[in-house]
Amino acid sequence: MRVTQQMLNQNAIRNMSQNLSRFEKINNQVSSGKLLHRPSDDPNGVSKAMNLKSTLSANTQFERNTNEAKLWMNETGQNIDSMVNAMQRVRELAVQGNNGTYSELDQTAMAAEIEELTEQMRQLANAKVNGKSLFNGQKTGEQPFPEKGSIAVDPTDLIAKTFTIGEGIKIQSSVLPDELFGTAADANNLFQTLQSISTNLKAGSSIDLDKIDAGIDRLLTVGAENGVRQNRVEAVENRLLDSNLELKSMLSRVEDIDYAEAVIKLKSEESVYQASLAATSKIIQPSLMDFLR
Amino acid sequence: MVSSFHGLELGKRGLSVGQASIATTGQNIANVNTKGYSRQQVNSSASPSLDVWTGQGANTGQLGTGVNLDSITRVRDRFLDQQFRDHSETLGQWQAKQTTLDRLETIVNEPSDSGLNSAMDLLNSAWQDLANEPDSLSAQAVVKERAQSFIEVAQSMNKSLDSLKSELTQESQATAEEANGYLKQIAELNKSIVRDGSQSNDLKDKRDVLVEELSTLMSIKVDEKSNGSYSISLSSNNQQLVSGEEVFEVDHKTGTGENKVYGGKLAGLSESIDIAKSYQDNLENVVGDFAAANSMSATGGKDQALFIGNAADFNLYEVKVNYEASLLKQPAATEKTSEAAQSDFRKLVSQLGAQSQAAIHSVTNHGATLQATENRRQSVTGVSLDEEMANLIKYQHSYNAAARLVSMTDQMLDTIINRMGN
Repeated sequence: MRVTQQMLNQNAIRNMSQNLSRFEKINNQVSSGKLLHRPSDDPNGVSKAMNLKSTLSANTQFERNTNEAKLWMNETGQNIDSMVNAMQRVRELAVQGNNGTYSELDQTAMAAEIEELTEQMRQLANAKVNGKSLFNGQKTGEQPFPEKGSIAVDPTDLIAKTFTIGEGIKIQSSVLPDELFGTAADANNLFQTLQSISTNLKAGSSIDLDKIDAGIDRLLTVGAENGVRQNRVEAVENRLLDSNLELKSMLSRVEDIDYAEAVIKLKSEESVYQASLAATSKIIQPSLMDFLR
Repeated sequence: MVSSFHGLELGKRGLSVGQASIATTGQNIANVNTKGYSRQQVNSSASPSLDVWTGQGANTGQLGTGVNLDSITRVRDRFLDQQFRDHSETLGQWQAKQTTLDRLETIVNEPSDSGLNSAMDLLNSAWQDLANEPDSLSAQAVVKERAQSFIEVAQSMNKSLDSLKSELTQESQATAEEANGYLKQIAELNKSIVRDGSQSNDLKDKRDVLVEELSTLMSIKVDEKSNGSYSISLSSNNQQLVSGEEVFEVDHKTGTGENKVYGGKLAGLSESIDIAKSYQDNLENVVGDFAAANSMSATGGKDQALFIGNAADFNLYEVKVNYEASLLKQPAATEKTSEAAQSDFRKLVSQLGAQSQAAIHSVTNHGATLQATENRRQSVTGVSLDEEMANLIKYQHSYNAAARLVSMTDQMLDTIINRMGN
């Protein structure tokens, strides 16, 4: 093949610019730390990275939801514990009242304490978390028992508060007042029981301890259910944290560069480019003219 | 018997061919970097000889009369020219498409933390914060702002796609005009070449450069007529473009794919417009689906859907966020349907990536093929300075030798005329 100066020129320029553009690309990767800059870098990888990012963003949100759910459940549990304590004091007083050995004055004092405890129970039932009513389902802006003496809740549309803690996983994070105290129509309604205790004490008639026990049992059962759900949330939270870590490392494998590999490649591209510059400078200079005198 | 001055004439012919050869070498050297220049060579032959009696039987001897300058021609391979034009047509087409896909990738702006995908993710998150605190005004506001930023990202993408399409249409028009310009110049050159006869080397070079430029814009077939003029037609449908001095202009049509038939850059541009249109349609579908999944109604107003827009006849520029709404709730179907819209978007991005990657490879491959063809053509037609220098020495020596012949003949004549008979 006959070789001419222009050929050498064109080929040298083409090779140099190819080397330079590869050099530029790897340089860009090293300086940004990212393997993928545009969809054509790796169409499949880019779509995978986008998918992973979406899943990661959903997971982060689930984590936030889990924390919120935990807060609600802890508050629910603590409030129920306080209620149980108050009810146990009520039971002690009721047992004393049933003895029949106390004076009328004592009975009145006991009745007054029971009324105080009833008010305490009402306040616990109206407890708020972060400014929101804890025991009023999703109607967190309203209280279940806003007025003293009111024992009936309006059960219309009253749905327990739930949080989404995973893809399609919702968890109940509070309990409804009817679950906790029994409906207003229920013979064992806790507030009704409390009211009848103080009435009976004042009247000196006997107190039905079974009703108190039934109330305490209900509180304990609901509290236990809440505790079980708390365990479930913690399990889900651990899984979320694990999967976050997994997703992040997957994303990193897809879109981050391996620095050791990239820097070696950068060095080799650099030397390839320098070699092409050196070769070009040698090949362009001499011609027969330089030797004819 | 030969004439006394035979030697002078013979020497003179040698001198003039030598001079022509040196001049041609000079022309070659001067044009070593001229685009499209093909090296020229002097074709000479021995001039008709004289019959002289040699006393050897009945046959006459043949006495040489020197050299004759036949022609100065350019060295060129027509087969390689056609090959070069074919490759540059394909390359032109792919380059146009690749440039468009490259710009589309910039417009789509993925993977990034500010693209459409993350805007959709942020809206999904905002919905859940609102679900956690349904009566929180700030959570409501965040949902609306996330929705607004999603719409803004989508609309700005759409706007860029619109301007890309209109730029491509303009470029297509300009390219058709450029092609017409080349066609006219080729016809002009045809005229001059026919008038000058078939040896107008430099005009032919100029014409070949123009034909090559034309071949990147469209796919052409070139026939050289016996009078030296080119007749050019479209290879797709044999439509005449240039015939002698006559020009048949090409027309850019705005309709979809109308200039696909031309091939080359023109076809690449009209395919580009189609590609941009299809991505715009897909984007509009994604945005429409996602908005519908997050609840969209045409009426707006209080307590209505998050987005105001027409689901049946979706228009990306008209969709708005319903800032009036005061009790927004995430529609039950959101998770599934919005995930479907997001996955459609991911599909769009990876399809674009694959298409763009294929275009980059095609441009590289056809570029390399074109370069290889150009090398082979340069190998035939290019000027080699080493070769020209060696030739120069050769011609200089032949010129010197011819000059010596003249001076020697002069000495002979001096002997006869001035020194004899005294």
